[in-house]
Amino acid sequence: MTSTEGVEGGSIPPDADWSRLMMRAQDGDGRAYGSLMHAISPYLRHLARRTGLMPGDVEDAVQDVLLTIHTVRHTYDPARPFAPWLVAIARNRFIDRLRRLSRLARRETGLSEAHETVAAAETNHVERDSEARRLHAAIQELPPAQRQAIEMTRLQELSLKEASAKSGQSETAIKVSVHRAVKRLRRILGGDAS
Amino acid sequence: MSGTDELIQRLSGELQPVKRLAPPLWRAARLIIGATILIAVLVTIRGLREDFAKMSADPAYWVQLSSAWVMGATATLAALNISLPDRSRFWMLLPLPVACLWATGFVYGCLGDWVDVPFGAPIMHDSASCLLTITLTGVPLALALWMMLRRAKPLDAKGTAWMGGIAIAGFADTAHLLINMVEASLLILIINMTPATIIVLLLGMVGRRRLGAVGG
Repeated sequence: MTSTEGVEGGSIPPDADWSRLMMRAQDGDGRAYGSLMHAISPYLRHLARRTGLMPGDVEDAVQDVLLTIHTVRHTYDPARPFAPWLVAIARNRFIDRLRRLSRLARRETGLSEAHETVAAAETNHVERDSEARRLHAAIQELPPAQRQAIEMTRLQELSLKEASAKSGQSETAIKVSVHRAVKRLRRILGGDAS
Repeated sequence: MSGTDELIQRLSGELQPVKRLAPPLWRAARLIIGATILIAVLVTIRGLREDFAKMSADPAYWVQLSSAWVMGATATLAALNISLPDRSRFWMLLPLPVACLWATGFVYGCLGDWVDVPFGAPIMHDSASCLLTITLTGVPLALALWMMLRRAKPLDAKGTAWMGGIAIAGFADTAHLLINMVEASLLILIINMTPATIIVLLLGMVGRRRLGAVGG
């Protein structure tokens, strides 16, 4: 339709054409309504950008205006120019959207690395590193026999038999050392020692 | 096909013919005439105030009475205009001068005569009668105006509701001034103004959420 030409650039909208299309739309002419909506969309995009909406919000904002026009189309008086009616609705919806976005921006804060607390292990590396350092320090505080037992059975994941062969201690002695080491680690790390 | 194209296709596909709203001046005229008839009916049923003959000789009474009615009429016109998207928000200023005149009349009377009310005067009886008049005028008019404004689905629901409240308060006070004895004491002023204030506040605060507005 020729009436949309030049609209993208923000020139004066072809008011008479749009007014006629809207008048036919009010009488139930779906094709005229479709033509009108297609014709005003570029102009609405232009207005949305001029109002200050971000490119990502423009299409949603235009759809919002089209829906509002659909709801209030009976309020248009064909004896009056169409453009002021359209612009008033569009500005109202765009400003409403800007206010809503601004309210959201005031209430919400972007997450920093320290706020990452979701279940995926890789997102919690800061906390994980911190806990690993604490555990490592606690293990260093254990007596040598207990430290060796816990390192072999828990960190190196050796079986009791392998740990016994490697350390020269009996399997029972290693079991006792692991049991005492775990109790002591719990106490050091603030857990339940019982 | 983009989301906007799909939306346009859907909206134009399901399009139904709509009945255009009549011009606001015409709709306001209908409501103003209706309000005036309602007030006349109430005066006929309940009778003019006992001191009407005395009051009608006082120009201040006529100023107050006419300013209440004109405030109702201008606020109705303003409410119906600003309920439409393409009408100027300056319509909201239309009832302002006459509202100031109306309020000044009350305050002037109050400051001049408030000590005249004797102790133990039948304030509660008067106030119940005032409340009845204001309710009988305000409720049907508020419903009629509400339905008119709701059909426009105003973008500025808040301003529209406030104007509607002022319109109803103006008409209700017109009936009140014709039917009820109004002693100009500060206490009676407060008691009599309370229902009008409640009407304005109710329409202003609750109305903006219930007007079926598309805007905030």
